[in-house]
Amino acid sequence: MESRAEPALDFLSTEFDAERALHSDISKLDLPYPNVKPCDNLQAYESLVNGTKRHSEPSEASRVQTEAPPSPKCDAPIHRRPRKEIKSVVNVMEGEQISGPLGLLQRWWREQVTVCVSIRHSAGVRGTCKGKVAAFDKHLNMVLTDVREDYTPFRSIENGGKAPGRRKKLSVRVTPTENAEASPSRQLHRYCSKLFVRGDNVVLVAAATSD
Amino acid sequence: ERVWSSRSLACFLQGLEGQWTTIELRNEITVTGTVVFVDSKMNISLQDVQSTRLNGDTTSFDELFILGRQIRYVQVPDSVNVMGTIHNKVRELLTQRKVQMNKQQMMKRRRVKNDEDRRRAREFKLGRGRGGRLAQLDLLHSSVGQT
Repeated sequence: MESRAEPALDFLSTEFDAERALHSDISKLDLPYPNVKPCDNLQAYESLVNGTKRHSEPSEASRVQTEAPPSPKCDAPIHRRPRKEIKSVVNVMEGEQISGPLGLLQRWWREQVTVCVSIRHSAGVRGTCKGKVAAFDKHLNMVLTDVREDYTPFRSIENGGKAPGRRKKLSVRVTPTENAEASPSRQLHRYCSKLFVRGDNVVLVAAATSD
Repeated sequence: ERVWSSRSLACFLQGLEGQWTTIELRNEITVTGTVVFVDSKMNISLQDVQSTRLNGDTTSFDELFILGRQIRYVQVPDSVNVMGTIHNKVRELLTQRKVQMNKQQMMKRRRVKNDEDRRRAREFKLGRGRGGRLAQLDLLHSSVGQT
């Protein structure tokens, strides 16, 4: 049609009155998309768009959907975010070659190389654990087999939990070197067939060249 | 979430639940007992525990809970197959997670469906379709307008 109806019923005008359009006779309306199928209720509209048969009986006076071309955007199949696969510790260990330092550890795990793990306590290195890597993870938690541990127990703990030189504020300060000379720390050895080491305590891991 | 323990060797420790082990702590206290429960942060709860200090003092507890951070070593019984335990535990945790996620998705779908149904019912009731309130009002208006 060339001549448009009154501006209130003209879909493309700024004065479009939706309510009036809904009330008025469908045949008299000038639809911007003539091929659109008018629906008189939301259910009919949705079933049209979804393509499923739903209970929707058109009333005698058919109404026009103001949103003329039916936009399937909201009815698109729910886009599922690809489920994040948890990379478990075994995946990491047995998977492809890791680059970087952990890759070394992975190699030692595969080849069952005897490694030497330095262990720490709160003030320095405690000792070393020599064994084969049975399992590891990114925190450097490790399970070692055939472990020989050479270590020195933490001096201040042996003394009953008080660091030497800190007992009295006014007393003479015992310097660390003096202390070491006065009571040399004992070197202890231990053997354990399977040991789990928490990564917190690991200082370094090296391939043991000689046992 | 316990499931995330499959990303670290905490899952291996979880596989040790029920085993009698010796745990050495950072403060050099040795604790021997049966592992009851390990969580993803490696916190361990033990039963029938004996703890030994460096100076030889021993104390017994029925139950003991150790913070994961405080652990230095866990002495694993020889009979444990390391990789086997890890594989089994990881599989168990991942199936648990799948079940959990399926349940969550089902709940979500059910919730969404409920919301949708409710919305549709409301719209139908209030709308212009047959039986809708606005349609009834329209009829009223039109009948009033005509007279």
